[in-house]
Amino acid sequence: MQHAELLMEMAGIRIDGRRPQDIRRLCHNFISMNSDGGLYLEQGLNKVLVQIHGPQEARKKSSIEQSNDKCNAVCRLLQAPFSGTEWKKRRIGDKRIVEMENTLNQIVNEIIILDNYPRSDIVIVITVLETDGSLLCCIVNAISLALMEAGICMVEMMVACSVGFVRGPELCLDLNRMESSSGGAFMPVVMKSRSEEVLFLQLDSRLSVKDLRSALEVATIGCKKVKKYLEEAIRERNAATLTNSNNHMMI
Amino acid sequence: EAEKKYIIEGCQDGIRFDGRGPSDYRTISLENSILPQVNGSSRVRVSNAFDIICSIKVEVSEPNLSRPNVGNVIFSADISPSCQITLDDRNLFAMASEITDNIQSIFISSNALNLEDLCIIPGKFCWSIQVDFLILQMDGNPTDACSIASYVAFQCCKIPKVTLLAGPSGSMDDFEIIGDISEGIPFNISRIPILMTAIMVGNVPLVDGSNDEWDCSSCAVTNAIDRSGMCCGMLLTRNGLLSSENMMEAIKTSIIAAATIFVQLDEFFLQMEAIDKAAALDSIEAPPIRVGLLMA
Repeated sequence: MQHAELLMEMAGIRIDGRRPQDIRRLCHNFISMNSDGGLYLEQGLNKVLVQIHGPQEARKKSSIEQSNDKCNAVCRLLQAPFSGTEWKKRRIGDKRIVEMENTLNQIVNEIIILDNYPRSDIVIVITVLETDGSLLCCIVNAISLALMEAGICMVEMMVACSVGFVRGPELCLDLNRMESSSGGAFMPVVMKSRSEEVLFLQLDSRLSVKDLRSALEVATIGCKKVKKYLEEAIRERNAATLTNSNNHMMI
Repeated sequence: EAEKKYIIEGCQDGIRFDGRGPSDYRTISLENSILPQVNGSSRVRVSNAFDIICSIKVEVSEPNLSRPNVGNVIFSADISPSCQITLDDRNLFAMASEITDNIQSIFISSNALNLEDLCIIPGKFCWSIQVDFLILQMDGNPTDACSIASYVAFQCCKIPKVTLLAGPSGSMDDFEIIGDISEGIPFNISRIPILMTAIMVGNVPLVDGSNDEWDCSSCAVTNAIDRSGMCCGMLLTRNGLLSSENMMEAIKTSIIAAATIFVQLDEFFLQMEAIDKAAALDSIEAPPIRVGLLMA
């Protein structure tokens, strides 16, 4: 770990060679497996598959609980046992999975225009194939793109980026697993892309209020970079769909 | 009801509803080494019916006290909610457990892998192989496709090489893993079987049934067939009466279908070898992992 500090001090780069405010490489692929909108997204080494089913007829349970003029958006997360460094089979009702599902439910219910789809369900199925830090942010970015692919109305596009301190006084963006567990502050931030309002923020470590302010500013920069990537992806997809090119039509 | 009759009568004339014969498997598309973080991985796509990712992870563990010279192989499956969006997690888990149990029991009983090869130091350390299936799409029973995926994953999987070292007590009871994974030992896949499930529709055994055909079937038998065409394991997987003639018919049909699949697998392995050789000639270090965009 002394290497990391040296690298930072002398060359201003992080363990994987990025500058402090560089986000990881993003690449994606639209897929049309048995769903209304499917997307495979890679952010660094994170590999996430999102499939949107909906809007579809509401199942009985949700129509009792929910009022009749809104849709019910649900996220279901499946994390493969081989996704982390150690093999771990997640049981049903695993606390971390449930917590993440609840967080995603909250976020997604804020961002989708629920009134447009009364008495319907939208089910977002997320499969995680590999994780390497900032998983929540990667999932949120993938959901954002997949919802657009599925044609579901959203208030704004949502983007997410994580920010934190890694062995040095500079704030770094998009922390990977090693960096986020190195002991410094780590804060994933989800925000609306245009108005830059924060949808979700999580901080489990100590951070002074002054640093919090600058961290949010840096997180906004990161989110802007992600937004640029997502917008480009959508433009390409639209162009391909309209000209009926075969490259992006996956069966 | 009328549809069921249509399917059953069609089968008795030897034609299934999508035009296949009773021992025809649907088109298979294969990929290997898709996950860089595990020892072996593969992806099997059966035309619009199945999409299964298999990962094999090899870890060091302690052998069972009663059998100190062997390692172990553990299977596990996960079904994505996308396969049947109406089912909740408990049902999916139950389905996945059923599939896992079937595969595990046939695989272990057919003695496919020489578990003694997995021993590092008798009584202290052994290799434990964890085989995981991630089922992203299914139309019918995924057991067969899962076994094909595990076959491909075993072929590209390598166990790290170890050197034995003298431990604190003086005897050779410690070991060191050689870091370079490309020097790993590949598996001996000659005896690994493929599972072929034959379902009885009317009195005709069908291989690779779709959901509709499963609904019309009276019983099902899963056979483990290795590459020499020998049936090395059998499991009745659905309640129903199976006469001995029908059973023989079912086994024959499974063997024919498995033979065609093995031919396809061999072709695939040759293709992959050719690609690796070409890559080795082009660059100084041959990348053992095909890092590409998954799902392309």
